[in-house]
Amino acid sequence: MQAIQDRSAETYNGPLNSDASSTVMRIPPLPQPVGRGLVYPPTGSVNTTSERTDVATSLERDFNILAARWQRETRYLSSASKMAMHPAYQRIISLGQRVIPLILRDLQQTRGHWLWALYVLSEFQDPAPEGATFEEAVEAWLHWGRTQGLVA
Amino acid sequence: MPDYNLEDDFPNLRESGWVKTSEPDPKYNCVAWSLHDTRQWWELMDLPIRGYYWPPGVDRDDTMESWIRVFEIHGFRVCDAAEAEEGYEKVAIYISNNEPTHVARQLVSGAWTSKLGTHEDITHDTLRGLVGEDYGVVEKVLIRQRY
Repeated sequence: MQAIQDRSAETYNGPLNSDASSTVMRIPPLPQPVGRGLVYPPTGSVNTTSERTDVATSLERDFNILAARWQRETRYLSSASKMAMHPAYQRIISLGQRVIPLILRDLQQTRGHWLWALYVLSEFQDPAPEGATFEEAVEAWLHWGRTQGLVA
Repeated sequence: MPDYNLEDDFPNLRESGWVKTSEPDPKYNCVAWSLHDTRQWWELMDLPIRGYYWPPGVDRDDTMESWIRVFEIHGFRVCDAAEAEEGYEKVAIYISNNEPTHVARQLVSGAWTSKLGTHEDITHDTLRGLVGEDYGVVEKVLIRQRY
């Protein structure tokens, strides 16, 4: 598996066109690959439990805003590729591997077209079997997420 | 309650008349639905991502020619008229910005059935009902014998 680039020094400017767009959040380090799994290390710049909680809450809030916008603005598209090109979807991917648990949770709830994002964020893994239907692929990704401890 | 209103998004549905016939379902899209498939999402993905189906031998899915080819493989041929003909089934492909956006399938009654992206199936009395900002206009109609 390819090494994951550490972009911990990057800043995150909030979701597109949201109320949070003026806030600047320091992104904690990306999870590190261990075998085929991901481990979320303690951050260098966000040290306390409350600070980590704030970052997680902010990330989740921003993910929810972006995901809602993406779902709202792509719901009539017949192309998952075009859905994946939506700016909000691309913005979610740009948040890095920390959003994988949030994506998996949304996938669990909505069965939405997150496979493109998961494929990219997982460094081009694809746990679905050859010839899988969309539903079978969703189940394969959720199984993968459970085995990684990323989703309940 | 859904957080959207179809008649706001497709204003022509108000005069066309329509009825919802399924709940939202991301498992299949309009291409699948037009070919009576509710198990698969028909699309050729840009990346080699599993979970999507596209017929072998059709190279692209973002051109009218490719969509027509998919229906030709399934026994359709291009025709001129959208009016219902006894013993025949028709599909109508919408286009916007030179790319196919949607396909509707004609029912025996002459009305049309559409799967709206990841959302619901509807029956709409006219093709004009879905003409607009999202799907553009009807570009091609194809026909095959009903079976």
